[in-house]
Formats: sequence, C-alpha cells, structure tokens
Amino acid sequence: MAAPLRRIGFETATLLVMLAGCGGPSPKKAADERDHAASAARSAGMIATAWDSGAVPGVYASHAVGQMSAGLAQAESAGVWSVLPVAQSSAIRKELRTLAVVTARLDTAIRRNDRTAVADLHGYLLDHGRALTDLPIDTAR
Amino acid sequence: MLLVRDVLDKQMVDRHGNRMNKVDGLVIRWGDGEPPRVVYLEAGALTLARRLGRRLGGWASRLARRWGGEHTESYRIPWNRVRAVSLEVSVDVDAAETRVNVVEDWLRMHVVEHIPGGRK
Amino acid sequence: MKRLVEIALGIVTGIGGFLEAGSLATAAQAGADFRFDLIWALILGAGCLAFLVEMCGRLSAISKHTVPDAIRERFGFRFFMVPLVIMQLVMFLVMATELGGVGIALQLISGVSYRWWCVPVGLLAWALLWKGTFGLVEKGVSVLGLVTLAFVVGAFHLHPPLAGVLHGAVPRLPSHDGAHYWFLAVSILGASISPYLFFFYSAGAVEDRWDVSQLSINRITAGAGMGFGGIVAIGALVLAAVVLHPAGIKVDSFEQLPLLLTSALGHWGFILFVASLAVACFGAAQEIALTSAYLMAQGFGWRWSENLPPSDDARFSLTYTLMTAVACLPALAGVDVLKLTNISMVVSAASLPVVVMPLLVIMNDRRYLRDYCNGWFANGVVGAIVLLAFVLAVVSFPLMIAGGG
Repeated sequence: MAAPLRRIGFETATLLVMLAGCGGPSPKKAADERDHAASAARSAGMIATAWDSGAVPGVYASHAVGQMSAGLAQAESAGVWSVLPVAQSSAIRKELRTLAVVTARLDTAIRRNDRTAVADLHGYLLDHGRALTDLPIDTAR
Repeated sequence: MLLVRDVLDKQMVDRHGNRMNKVDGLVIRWGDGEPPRVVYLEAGALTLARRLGRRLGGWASRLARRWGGEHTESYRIPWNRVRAVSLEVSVDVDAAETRVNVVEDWLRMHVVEHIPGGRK
Repeated sequence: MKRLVEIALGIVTGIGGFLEAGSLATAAQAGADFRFDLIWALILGAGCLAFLVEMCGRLSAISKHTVPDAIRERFGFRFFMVPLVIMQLVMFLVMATELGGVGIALQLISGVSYRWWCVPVGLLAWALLWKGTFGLVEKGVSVLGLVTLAFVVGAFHLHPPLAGVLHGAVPRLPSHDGAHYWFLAVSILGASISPYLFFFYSAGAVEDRWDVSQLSINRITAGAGMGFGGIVAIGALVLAAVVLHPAGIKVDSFEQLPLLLTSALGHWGFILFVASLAVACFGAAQEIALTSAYLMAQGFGWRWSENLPPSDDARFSLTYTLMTAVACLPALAGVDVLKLTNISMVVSAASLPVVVMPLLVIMNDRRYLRDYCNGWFANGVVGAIVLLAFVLAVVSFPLMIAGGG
C-alpha cells in the first residue's frame, strides 16, 4: 500500500505547485479567451452555412447557434479582461457584445427560416469576428 | 503448499462447480509442540475488513453484532472439506446449504425479484 | 469457416467498440488545435491497447481466470483494494461521460437538452443488460458500431494531404502551446488505453468459454480489431484537421462536431454523426456498467455472468444497476459533457499503472499461463507500457491544470 500512497503524495505536491502558478486572470488567459470567442463566432457562421445548404436541420442549427451566442455573452462579462488596459478591454468587450447580439439574431433568423437575414447576419458575423481577432492584447506583461 | 500463495484469496468452488466466494481468510491453530495447522477457511466481509486494518475490523465487528442477526462471524469451512487446491479451491459442500450466499439470497428475494424482469 | 466468422466478429467488435465520447472528443480537439501533429498519439494508444488486450485474452483463455481474479489471487486482498477503488471511480466518470454523449446525440436531433435524455438512456442501457445476454451486448456493440466508419469515409472524401498525415504519424515536439499539446497527447492515450477495456475483454473471453484453440483468434482480434479501431479515431482527427483547423475553430462543445461529417458528407453526414455518437457512447456505457460489475464480482468471488438471469447473480446484477443509476447523475445535474470528457480521460490515463503493473507480473506466472507466458519481446513491450503509464500518472493532472481546455 505504501508505494501507491507515495505516488499520490508526489502528485499532490506537483498539483499544488502548478496551482500556485496558475492563479487568476493573465494577459495570456485573455488572449486564449479571445481566441475561443472568435472560434465560437466562426462556428456559428459555419453552422449557419451548413443549415443554408440543407446539410443540417433547423432544430440543431438554432440550438447550436444559440449556445454560441450564450457563450459570447458570458465571455463579454468575464473577469479575465480586467488585467488589460481599459482601452483594450472595453474594445474587446464591445466586439463581444456585438457578436453575442448578432449570433442571437442569427438563431432567431434560422428558426424563422429567413434565408436572406441569415446570409446578411453571416457576413456581419465574419467581419466582426475578424475585427475581434485583430484587436491587440499585450501578452508581454 | 504455501498457504498464502496457494489458498488465500483463491476462488472457492462447491461440489457442483458453482462459485462460492473467495477464501477471505484462514484460521490456523498453533499447538504446543505441534506444527501450526490450518483448521478452517473463512469467507465473509468481516474477515476482509479485519485484513484491511484493526480499526476497520473492530468497526465491522460491531456492525455485524448489531445487524448480523445470527451471523456475527464469518462463515467457516473445515479444512477437511477441501478436496483439491489448484487455481481454485474445491470444497466438498453445497453452496446452497451454507450461509455463504446469505447476502446474495437476501438481495435476490428482496430486491432483484421486485424489479421488473428480475423473476426468472 | 466458423473460425473466419469468429475472427470477423472479433475485428468488427474492435472497430465498432473503439470510438466513444472520449476518443472522439480528444481526436477532434487534437485535429482542430494541432492539425495532423498528434496522429502518432493515436497510433501509440491503439498499439499499446492491442498488446494489452491480447495479453488479457491469453490470460483468460489459458487460465480460465479473469484479470481481477488474477490480481486478487496473486497480490492479495489488501493490494486489490487499490485497483478496485481507483477503477470504480474511473469507470463512474467515463460512464457518466458516455451517457452524456448519448444525451448530446439525442439533443442534436431533437433540440431537447441532454439533461432530459440521460435517465431514459440509462434506463434503456440497464434494461438491455438486465434482460440480455453477453452475446447481445457484444454483437450489438460490434455491428451497430460499424456506423462509426463514417469518419473514415468522410476523411477520405475530403482528400487530406497524405504527406501531412504521414508527417503527423511520427512523434514530434509541439510547434506551439506545449502544455496544451501534451495535455491532448495524454488525453488521447487515456482515451485509447482505457483500463476497463482489459477487464471487459478478459471477462468476455471467459463468458465465451475461450481455450487454447482461441489464441490465434485472440491475437488477430486484438491486433486488427484495435488497429482498425484506431483508424476510425484517426479519421475523426483528420476531419477536424481539414474542416476546423483552417477556420481557426477550437472545439469547445460537442455541438460543433457534426460539422466534421457535414462538410464531407452533407446531409447524410449529420445523420451519420448523430448515429455514430449515439451508438458508440451507448455501447461503451453498457460495457463499462458490466465491467464495473465484473470487477466487483470477480474480486470478491461472487457468482457472475451476463448470460445468467439477474436472479441467479443478484450481487453482480445489482452492481451494474447501481453503477448505471449513479452514472446518470452528472449529466442530469447539467455538468458540461466535453469538460467531463476531458477530465475523465486524464483520470483514466493516470489510473493505468495500477492495472498494467500487476498484469506484467501475472503474464509471467506459469501457474496461470503454463507454456504461454510472455516472451522477452512481449515483456519488453509491457515493460515500456508500464513506464509510459507511470509517466502519464505523474504528468496528467499538472498538464490538465496547465494546458487543459
């Protein structure tokens, strides 16, 4: 029994060391969060395209896009942006808010079967998604 | 025959070939001047609890005395009933006549047969 | 002729049973984040699994004892408690993941949340175990599981660059994001080399009454079955690499994964994805529930067999009943299925040493294997796997903290 216990002790120690170094928000975490948000926006766009071509049913597309929207709204109010200078964090938050609203509208348009609206919103989504990725984040801190 | 290696923790099989718990413990008599002899094989959760530690064993004994009814000790099989020891320990008893399966039978009667599809 | 059918069934079971929530999610994340660079991890995982599964089959065929039997008998009850407790915990986590996976599949087509699906799904999985036989579970998993070949078909459809794929088959250091790369490598290995698979396979060998004459079938089943199964997972990775990676999409939810097959196979892709996810996870959930019961019953010496009616092996049957009920809880509580998957794969990887190390010892024990003990090559391979298992056990949790998600 001793050998496994010793191993568990080693793991716990390593865990504590790692945890000590991975505390709260950091610029790197902010960059990761930004990339995940941009990925959510692009996923919503891809799902919308798949729906438009008839590859996926509206039930799925609407649910999935709605989930992306909720995720983006959550990202906007996340605490991770607080480590950045005010100008950067408010620019990112603004973009995330826009993306959350656009994806929510996309969800509604899919449910209403409004192909024109979906196409418009998709284009909007692409532009703002790109804008989000282009926003600067100082990771050099 | 090395007891720990060849007997302890082995599967017991009754005279009909049915599985009958594992050998959870051995009862050895240490006589004066006589070499120690195995007197019984033991099977039961109580024996297992004791092997895990004295405190756990004591706690399990108390539980058994309160709720065990007539069964406050592990089931014992006399050594002279052991017919063969290979990868399994063949014992000359009928599992149905022993109380080794008391938990199994209780669960069958009070739980399994009340679940739809549980009755044969 | 009968042997050919047995071999075919064995290979089909290996293919159909390989992919489940964990291997799908980890392969997809690997493809999306690192393109083809982690293919080597899947090859390594499938290879290790093939070796270990062959050994478990050989052990059961020659000794007529299963792995848990042998571990307790050879190492004693006190030692046995360690793999028993750890494996039950791992199996609970992985089964919760699988039930969640089926729930997600049903959510994809119905729009009804997976939280509502986990109880009916659990109930169905349990009912099939309660009334069914081992053969039913085994054949169900294998035949229905073939639908997962859609990932291989889809991958070919998109004409991935062969050079890139072969490039990724060679182990390499990450070009970026080291912690996340190694976290995914560990998760892939944990998903492929699932300890519950050995227990299930060895119990199955005893359920099917294998003997010496099945040894060659065992070798082919293990090698080809796990090998081809690995190809299904590689298919999923390649699809993610071709569809998600160029678009800069990271896998954060199972909801994104239908895109893997819709891009390749259009409308059929969606249906095949839902079917694959549902069938693969359902089969895995049943296997895990049974394995949990096998582990308890074989370790304590109870009567056990899926071929017996529940009233003949009450403790065995109630164990898988309890495990199924408890495994529904995380999904019911709304735990994020992808996050649960990532955690359970890491825990699975970390738990490997407690199973592989005893196995190495047992495979050299003449009392169990007579003339069929491991040769020097097999010992070398298992020895290397044991070392790998210890490395995984040490690094898995720190990597999850540093590079997870």
